[in-house]
Amino acid sequence: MAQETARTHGLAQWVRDLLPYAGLVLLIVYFSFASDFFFNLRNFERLATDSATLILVALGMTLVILVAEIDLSVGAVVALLSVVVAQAMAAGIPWHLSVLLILCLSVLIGAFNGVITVIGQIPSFIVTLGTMAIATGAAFVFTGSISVPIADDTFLDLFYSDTVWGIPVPLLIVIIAFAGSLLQLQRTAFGRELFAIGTNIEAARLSGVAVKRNKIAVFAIMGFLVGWASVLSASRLGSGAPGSSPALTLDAIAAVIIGGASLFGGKASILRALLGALLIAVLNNGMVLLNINVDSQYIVKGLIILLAVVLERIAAREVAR
Amino acid sequence: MTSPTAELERRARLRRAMIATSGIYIAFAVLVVALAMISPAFRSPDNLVNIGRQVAILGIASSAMTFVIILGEIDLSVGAVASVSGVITALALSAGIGPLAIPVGLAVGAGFGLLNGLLIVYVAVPSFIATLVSFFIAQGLALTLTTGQTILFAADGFRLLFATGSVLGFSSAFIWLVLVFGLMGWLLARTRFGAHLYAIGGSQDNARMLGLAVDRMKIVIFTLAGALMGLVGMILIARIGNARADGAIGLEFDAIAAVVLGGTALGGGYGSILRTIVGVMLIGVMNNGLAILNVDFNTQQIIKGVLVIAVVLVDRWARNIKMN
Amino acid sequence: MTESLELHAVSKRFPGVLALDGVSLRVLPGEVHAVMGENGAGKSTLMKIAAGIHTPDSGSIVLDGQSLTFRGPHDAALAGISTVFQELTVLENRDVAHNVMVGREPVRMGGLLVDRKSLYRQAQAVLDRLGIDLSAETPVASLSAGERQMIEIARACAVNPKVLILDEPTSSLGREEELVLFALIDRLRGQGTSIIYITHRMSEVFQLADRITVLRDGRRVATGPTGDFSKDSLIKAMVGRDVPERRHGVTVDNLPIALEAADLGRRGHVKNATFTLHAGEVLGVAGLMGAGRTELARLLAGIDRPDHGHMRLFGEEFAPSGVKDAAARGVAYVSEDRKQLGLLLSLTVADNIALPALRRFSGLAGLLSFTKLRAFARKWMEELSVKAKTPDTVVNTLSGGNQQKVVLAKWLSTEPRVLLLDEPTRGVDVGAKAEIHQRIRNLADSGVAVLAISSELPEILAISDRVLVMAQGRIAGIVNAEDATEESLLELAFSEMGADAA
Repeated sequence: MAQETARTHGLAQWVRDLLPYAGLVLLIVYFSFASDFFFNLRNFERLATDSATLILVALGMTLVILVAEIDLSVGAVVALLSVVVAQAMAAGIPWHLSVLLILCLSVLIGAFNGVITVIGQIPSFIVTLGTMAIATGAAFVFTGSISVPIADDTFLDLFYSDTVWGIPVPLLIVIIAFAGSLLQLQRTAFGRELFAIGTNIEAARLSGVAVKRNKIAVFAIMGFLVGWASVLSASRLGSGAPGSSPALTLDAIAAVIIGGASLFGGKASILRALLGALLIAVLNNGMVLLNINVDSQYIVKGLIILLAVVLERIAAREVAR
Repeated sequence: MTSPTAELERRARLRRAMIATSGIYIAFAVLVVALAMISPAFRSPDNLVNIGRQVAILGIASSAMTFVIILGEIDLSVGAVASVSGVITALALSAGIGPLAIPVGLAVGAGFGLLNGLLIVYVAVPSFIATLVSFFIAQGLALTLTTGQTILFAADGFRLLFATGSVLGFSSAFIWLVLVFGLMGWLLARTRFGAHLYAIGGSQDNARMLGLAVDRMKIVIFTLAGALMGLVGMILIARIGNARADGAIGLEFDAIAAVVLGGTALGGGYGSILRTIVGVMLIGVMNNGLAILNVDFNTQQIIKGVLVIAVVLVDRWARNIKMN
Repeated sequence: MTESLELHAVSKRFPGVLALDGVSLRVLPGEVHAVMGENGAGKSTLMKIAAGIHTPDSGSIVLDGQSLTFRGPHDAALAGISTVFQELTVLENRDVAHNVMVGREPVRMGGLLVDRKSLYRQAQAVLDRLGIDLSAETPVASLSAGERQMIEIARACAVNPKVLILDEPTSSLGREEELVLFALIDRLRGQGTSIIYITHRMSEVFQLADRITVLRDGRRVATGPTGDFSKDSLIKAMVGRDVPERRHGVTVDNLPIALEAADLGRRGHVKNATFTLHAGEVLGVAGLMGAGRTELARLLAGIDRPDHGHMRLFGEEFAPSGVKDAAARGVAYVSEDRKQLGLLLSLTVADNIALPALRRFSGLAGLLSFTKLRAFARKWMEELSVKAKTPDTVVNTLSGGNQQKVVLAKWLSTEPRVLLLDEPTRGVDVGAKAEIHQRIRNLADSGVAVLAISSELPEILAISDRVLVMAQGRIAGIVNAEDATEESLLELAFSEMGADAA
């Protein structure tokens, strides 16, 4: 139980286990030498707050991938909800009610994905592709394609620059979400059942695990985390922007896969997904500092996922042998 | 051989399933009639020609997607691969290599398709992840090569060939569409290749037992789909005379929508080019009609999203009825 | 006449089992050669070698005097050996012609077009030649199971094979369909095709076969013309393993009834099952492959819903809505397929054992107590003497026997009142087998009602108090284990239950 997942020790497995750690260290070392602005406290602080959105989504994506599903709608939903929260405040709804509103909405959207996937027996990538189209469309329709500025200073400060016990609030939310997810996955019956579902869904069903209910719950939790991600994103940008997070979905999937998750379910780790998310965040940050064309990030990330996926499959074969 | 009552029951179930699946077409018919009644612009003959021109890109992408879906897989890289093929073709044209740019554009598309196929077959990655990776890389490549700028090129012959030329009043883009529909329809319905594609899509395990080359089929289909995306990229840039990195963004979704709306089931083994033509016309007419009614692009996206989920759900339900 | 197919001294070893031990088989042209044997006697392996799916470790395949090696079923088909497997490989989404002609579609214009006319003509010709009353244009999706079986045979015959292997072709057929099939086989025989016919049905063998070969434990024990055999002598030839001396035989009349099934059935699998299972007995369930044993257990365990009939559990109405419900009421089912349906192979022993009971260990704020959970897992590991270092050992790394004990531990830990065991010792070494048998007896002695399915008759005889024998979805009989012999059980298992077999 102390181990998060099975460990077998083929070469590919070793490389894969090391990838998030070594990759992160290598990137940090490289950027520290390559840029004068990288290795300092202020940049790290910025990195931490900037990556909060990604980390929250990656945590949710870990659960989704663990049960062998996928959510392609998260980026679009974050954009939509940041628009909604901005508009809610613009309409005079107090910030706390606005936040509550989008949290409810996001859980509903997540649960919708889950119900259609599980009850409708439709592959989740199709369902969430549909949700993605709807959310993207809705975000642009609501705003007329213009960003909605947020004027509420309490909201802007609280979820971006304010600190509690010296810790910036976004970081605090991330820490809470991380600890919560970790506990949930490792130390609750629900979490252990998710491993069972992802490993062998039929065996789990025959052992009396409520497979459908658990899967829907996973999508709803994903929604909850996406809701908080939207709050942080809106606060950081100071507005609700309909096209704000084009790469978020892919970044989150990349983070989870780099973190060693199996695309066929049953294998995923909260800690390693966090490392994966940090790796992506450092990459984003460092490339900006080095004035590398932002767009080549896509290629780099694509190749990194490719590497992680190939390693994962080779490692799986090593186990099978 | 089965008892008559059981047979009647089965027929009744099938009928219910038929009605469920045709609901979408009824809804569509209502839409067309409503559009025709509300808008004189919609029902003008010019507009029909117009729709034909607009659907060329979607049509070619959808016929590629039809093959992929009949195979039982999915391709999410369609839009990005078309974009990057267009960008590279434009760069090649502006570098002055002339007609050689055409094979370059096709090769870029086919290359990405081949990458998809190899990942799916030899690394055993699910197709939605493999093609997501290609999507990533193709999108990044397109953005990097253009550095966010629009790539201009001067090649009138190229433009005439792929989009702006006209034969008997039909634009060359439309001619390409007809050619592709013809080619794909022939491959699917009239060749051994097509027969084996259906067999493999219906059940990969059975097809393997029967000695069909399943892996080779997957690689060929994805490569073919990629090459067609190369063609789409070229039509795209020929039509507007320049290339942008986001030229075909979201095309994969429209293509999936068109295939699914046409009644081709996800999961493989079923579908036809004819159905896809119907689906493409649905999307084409809908886009056109909504545009005439001043419904913006984004609302169209919402409608398409809802439609895709609804159609797939109804299809699933209908199949559950059939399988009792 | 020379033999058209000869398998010469073929041996095949799978991990842990010698499936075939120097088996020879000669099939003459134009004869129907039946291959019989108990479950696990080696029939399927032998057929798969002839069909090119397995390669033999030693021995040779000779067809018309030529020695052959096959790299796959395709090679065998090219050489003239076509096989119809029990699991159908019809293409559900295509029509009859495309199924019959798949991989051999006729083309014209240099391969540019499938020659549809001749595709349908050739397919129809095959159907007509075999006397199959179907149009080549019919979509397969609209065909019955029996008609699909015919399509499968038509496909195998489209190439005019020298040898046709039929693996239990009647298992999914109704009586009328059977007759059509027999006529078809007769016709093929008349056309000079050799047919290897594997079946579990006695009457078919005597009706159809020219010669019979009997396998037992991977060896050939008898071959001869059908006339040399009687039903009794066939059954005698099939059995003959060591039968345990010590038998059980609790008089169940004095035991309380745990589970009672009345007229229980599920279409196509189980018919009118009526029986009682007593607390404190082991009820063995015997029967041939496909007799409906697993399907019956799945109904009792709440995995599948019955179409008709009802159950009572300790006198109360019992209609479980699912596994969870059944488990909550004390009914546990241990699946026959440990790897696919039983275990979470890449997770730990503790993860596996605690799975059905996980929610019990949720403490404050829903957090699991790992101390308790580990202790629980360890207790059950010791109870069943699972040989693993710690509860954190990954199940994958354990031997088959220990894996099976983990599955057992998982369900015993829920302390069931009714335990349904499906092939509890499949793929398990001798030592572990004895332990598991002892365990099963102890459970019954402690008052648990145990139903144990097994394909090994000696095992059934060793552990059971009573034996329920199934044949073709029905209960063929329930006998006292003390009075039963392998022969008597096999005779029941081979019994044919009226006209409608499917």
